[in-house]
Amino acid sequence: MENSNSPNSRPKKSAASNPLEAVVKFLSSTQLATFLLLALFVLTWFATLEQTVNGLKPMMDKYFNWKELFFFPEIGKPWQKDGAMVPITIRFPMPSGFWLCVLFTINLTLGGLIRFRKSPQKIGILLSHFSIVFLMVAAGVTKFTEKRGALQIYEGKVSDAARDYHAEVIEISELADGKVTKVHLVDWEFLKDLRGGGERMFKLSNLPFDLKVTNLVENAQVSPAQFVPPVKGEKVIDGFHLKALPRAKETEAHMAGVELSVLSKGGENLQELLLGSRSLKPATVSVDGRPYLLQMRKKLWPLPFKVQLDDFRVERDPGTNRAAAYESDVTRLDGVETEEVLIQMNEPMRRRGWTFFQANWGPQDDPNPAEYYSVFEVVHNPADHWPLWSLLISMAGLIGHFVYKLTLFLTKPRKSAVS
Amino acid sequence: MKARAFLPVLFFGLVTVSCRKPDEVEISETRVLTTLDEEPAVNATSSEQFLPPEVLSQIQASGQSLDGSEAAAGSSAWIYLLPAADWKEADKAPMREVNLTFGDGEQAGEVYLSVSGGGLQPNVDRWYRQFGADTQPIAELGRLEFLGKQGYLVEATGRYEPGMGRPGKDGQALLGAIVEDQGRLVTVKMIGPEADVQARREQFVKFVASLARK
Amino acid sequence: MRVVVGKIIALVLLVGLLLGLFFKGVEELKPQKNVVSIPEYAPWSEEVIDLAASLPVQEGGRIKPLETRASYAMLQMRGDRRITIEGKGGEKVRVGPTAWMLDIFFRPEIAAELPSFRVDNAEVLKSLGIEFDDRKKRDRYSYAELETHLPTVMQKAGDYQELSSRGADLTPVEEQTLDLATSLQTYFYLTNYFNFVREGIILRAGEGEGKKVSMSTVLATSGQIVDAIRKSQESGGIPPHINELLMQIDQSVMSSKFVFHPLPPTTAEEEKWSSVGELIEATLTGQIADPNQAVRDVQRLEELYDAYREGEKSFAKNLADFRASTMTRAGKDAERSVDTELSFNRVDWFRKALYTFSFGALALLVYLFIHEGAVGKWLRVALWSFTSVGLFLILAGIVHRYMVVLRPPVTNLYETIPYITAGTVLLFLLVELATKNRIALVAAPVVGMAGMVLAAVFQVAAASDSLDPLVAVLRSNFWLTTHVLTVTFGYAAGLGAAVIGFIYIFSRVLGLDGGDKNFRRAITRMTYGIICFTLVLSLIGTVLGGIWANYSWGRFWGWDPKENGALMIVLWTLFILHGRAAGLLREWGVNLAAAFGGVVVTFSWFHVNMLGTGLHSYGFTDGKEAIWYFYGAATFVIVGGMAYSFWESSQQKAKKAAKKNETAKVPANEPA
Repeated sequence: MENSNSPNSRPKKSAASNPLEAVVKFLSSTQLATFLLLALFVLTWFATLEQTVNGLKPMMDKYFNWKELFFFPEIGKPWQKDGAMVPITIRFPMPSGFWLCVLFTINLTLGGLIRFRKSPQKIGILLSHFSIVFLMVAAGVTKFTEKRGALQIYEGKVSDAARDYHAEVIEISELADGKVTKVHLVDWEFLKDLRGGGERMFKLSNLPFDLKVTNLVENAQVSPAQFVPPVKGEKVIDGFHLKALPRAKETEAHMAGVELSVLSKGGENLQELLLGSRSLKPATVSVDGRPYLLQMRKKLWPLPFKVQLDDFRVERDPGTNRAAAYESDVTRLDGVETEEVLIQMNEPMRRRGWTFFQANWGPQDDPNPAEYYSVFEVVHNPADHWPLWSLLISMAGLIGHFVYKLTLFLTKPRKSAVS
Repeated sequence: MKARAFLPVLFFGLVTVSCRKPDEVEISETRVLTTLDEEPAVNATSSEQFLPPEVLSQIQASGQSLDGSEAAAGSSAWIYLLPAADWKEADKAPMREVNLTFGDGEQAGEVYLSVSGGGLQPNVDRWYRQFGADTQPIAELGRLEFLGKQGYLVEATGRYEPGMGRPGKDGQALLGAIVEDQGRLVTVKMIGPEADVQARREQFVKFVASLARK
Repeated sequence: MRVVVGKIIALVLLVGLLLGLFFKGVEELKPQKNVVSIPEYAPWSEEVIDLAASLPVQEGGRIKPLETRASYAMLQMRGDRRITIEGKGGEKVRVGPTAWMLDIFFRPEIAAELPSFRVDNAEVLKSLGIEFDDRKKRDRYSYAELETHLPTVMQKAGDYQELSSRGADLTPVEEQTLDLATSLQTYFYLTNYFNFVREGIILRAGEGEGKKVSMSTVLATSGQIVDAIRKSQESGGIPPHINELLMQIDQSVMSSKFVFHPLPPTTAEEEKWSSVGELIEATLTGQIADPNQAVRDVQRLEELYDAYREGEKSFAKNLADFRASTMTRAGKDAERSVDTELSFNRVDWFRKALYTFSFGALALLVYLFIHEGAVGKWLRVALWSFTSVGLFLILAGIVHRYMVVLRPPVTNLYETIPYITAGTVLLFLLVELATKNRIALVAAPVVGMAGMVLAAVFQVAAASDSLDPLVAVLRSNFWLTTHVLTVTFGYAAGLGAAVIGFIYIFSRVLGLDGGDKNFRRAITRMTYGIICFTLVLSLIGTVLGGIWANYSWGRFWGWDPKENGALMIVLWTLFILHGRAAGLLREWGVNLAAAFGGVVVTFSWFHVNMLGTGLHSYGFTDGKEAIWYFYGAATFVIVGGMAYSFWESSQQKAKKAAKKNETAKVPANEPA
């Protein structure tokens, strides 16, 4: 670490003679690494500040968006004491975190591993570099394949579907004999850019009608016009309208609402209705004499088995309302297999690639409620344990190298400096 | 449909959305059924969809409706208070502007409001006739509050023959209220098993007193 | 010449820093202005105070001595832990927390005269319509002065609470009003606690005079009362005299239900201690397991109060009995922890460490002038001794705290302060052993002082019991302990590197090193070495945190501000490492960057707790403005250092260019 020669000590060719070589040299240079580290540092700082202004998920979507190369950070006026955080936009374009990380991984692999001068003294550094590359790959895998949601179950009840924290969908259920036979899905990917205005037509293959979303409000409550009059000229459908609610600090609490038209295949407007994730029951439409259910809700992550909450226990700090510890007894119903499992704060349940963490519970205000519900955070991530392996490797590398260098320093004879 | 299967659709959707933000998207994605799909709540009214249960029952009790859920034959022109929890609104019927039922099973009965022409006495006569009883002069009828005025109260028991081809029923009773209003006759009839009708006499009086035109 | 000027400036700055630190650290002991005069005040005897101080109570989820409970209550209301008044004959009397609480319980009229409440901002009082016509500027007020305005205060506070719960941020005046309301409410409950003894219950069978009986007597007949109520409800209504009885009981329950829980549970399985009001309520609603014990408990407190009325001796004896019987029921563990906590309070390790480090700083000041010869050697011994002893005192304090609550030592923001101070001081001593160039040795006592001052200031500002148990999310085990200890030690190392970096900047700019390149290289080696150590600790600590988070909350990394802070330290130290390897950062660069690392560590250690979102927002913060002064000062020095380095290098370039021109002007005359 102290006295490294340039890791790529090849005889200098003039750049013009081999442009590819020049590019590779640049991509594997320590200078690029230094710059990237500085950029990631600044990115992290802005991410911390922007999170308090815009919320965690919006910040993540903005900073790690692989579709955009640059963005403009927004931070709050931290010295403002009264009133809400006023955002200031920094007019300097920040490179997208996703692409910074990609570039960083390339630089680390090329410069830190492949073109790195290998010698026994450098094993520690090589291990550390490798572990970080592994960590970045784990992050990438997580970003694109992770499924995460909340599973809330009341005592005595069974469930096999978790709800995503942010994505919301429109579901169309086909009915036969009063039972649901098939559920079609308009995914959040097609809805999320309609926040703040815009319309989109959804042609539903395999169904005798189409849907047109004419308005999507990010956080809405469908309210009766008679008691809560529309203030901004919202459309009133069947005595109700979409009332926009203020932004919550944690954007997970947002629940959207839509104004929807049901159209026949020929484009004729059959019915207009309102859907919202806060609704208690779905809407029913009748097309060609058959009923269909329409509802909007947080996207479901179906689980490969059912979970039944047998008992929930919470222990409070004596004399306070604070929860000291809480745990759930669940039974996992997996086809014919059943198993009773205890899920506690730091002891999750893992099965079939899904991990269940005890995340929350309620109702929390009532000291003695009739029935508790338990909330589990449910995650499916193939790269779940990779960061752990990465840590162990990097620890080995770093500690080893540090001890080696320290020993060298302490045993090297040298003149003492003037005081 | 496994999660992986929708990846191509998602990707397609992503590409199309990111490239063009299209106005039209083809949807073919489905999901597997879950416990949340069991016992679907079909045909929920708008009120049932959007209002929490406490608010919903308050509004139902007051007889108002925020949505068009009674709008079968145009919206009702009457407001009233349901005097008990087991009074329910029934589908509209011809000649009945307000159509309610009470109780269930053997103890069920009906209460309905009609607006008609004709005179007071002929209507009162007909009601007694339907119960095979002798009619009474108007002046000797009981009184009750009805549309802010003094209405007349008719009581009868016995076998009820509604007429017009409908079957008769034994052991029934009638509480009827009738008043002249805006040049028409407004009537409310409660018909059901004798014991139940008599037990619900107070409910009937309350209900009639609460009636008002919108 | 330049060296001398530089040395003078450095000395002035250093002395200023040390004095400022010292006086801030002992602020609580400052003599108070506007001393109130209460001529009839008779101080409690030492015996009574000691007995009362060691009385066990349950508060904040754990069992603690009354002294601790009173201490924090006083801190919350008054901002310090002593009240100085003028007693009989103008003599100065010091009222400590236990005595204060005894006054409030047993001598409410006198206590109402004590200046128990602190209101810094006169605006707060103005906005509540409270005016005082004394022209003195003061910030402490008594209950007697504020009592009549209680309803106004509570109402305003209710409004602000409503605002705050809807997510709005409050102005400083609104926040302070809320604080005042909380203080007043606590005081109200404390002062009315023993009303149930003072007023008793007045029984009226019919018209006319009633008979006054004690609460315990009434409670003993609770079964009959409950029966009577039930019977009368069936026959259509509760008779007025029973109603009146119930109302009186209810009033007593409400005034003695909160803030003071001295009565241990009656059964072994229960953990919750009770207040008098809770006992009464439970007995009358039939929810109590052992009603006889409840009656007895209420009686004990009545006897205690009666003993007070009788006189000092009787009171002391009764207190001792009360304490003994409570301890027996509380159990051996509670007794041990209360005793340990009392001794911890007495020793006050961190204040002792502050004084020790201050002596070390004195030795340092002298050493700056005389660092050679025998005197120099003795001063070095003194520095080593004071610093080591100071370090030992901090560690002893941490261990003693562990012995009180038996949980890992660093679990809230307050506890990180002594730990980090110890870490940096220890690190400096080790570095001194390795390098022997005295830099770390002289820096160590200053860091020790600063850390202990920060601990004292933080404790007063936060005014909450840092020994109380944790939020559930932090209850663990091996991962928590290792993660927190590693990351926090990483902070300590980062701060250590920053200190050395600042020393480099000052010695370059002020010319203290006299141009000695070896000296500069030695410092830089130290800075760099400590940076590497910081990297190792921070990276391991950060990833350990991720693993723990994965087990507890289900995600390895959540971009939580505290997590981000640790990551920022890792990235910054990596930046320094790779910048040096790439030749982009040399001596100046490494030291300036290390100094900036101090800003990064401060952001991660303190500032993230002030951002208010994320799972890590459980640290308490007040005095938030101070952090901006620190950022400002640090940035000023760093930017100044950068400017100086550019100026100096351009000077040198100019000199070199001039020299080149000179030699160029003397051409081929020179022999080849």
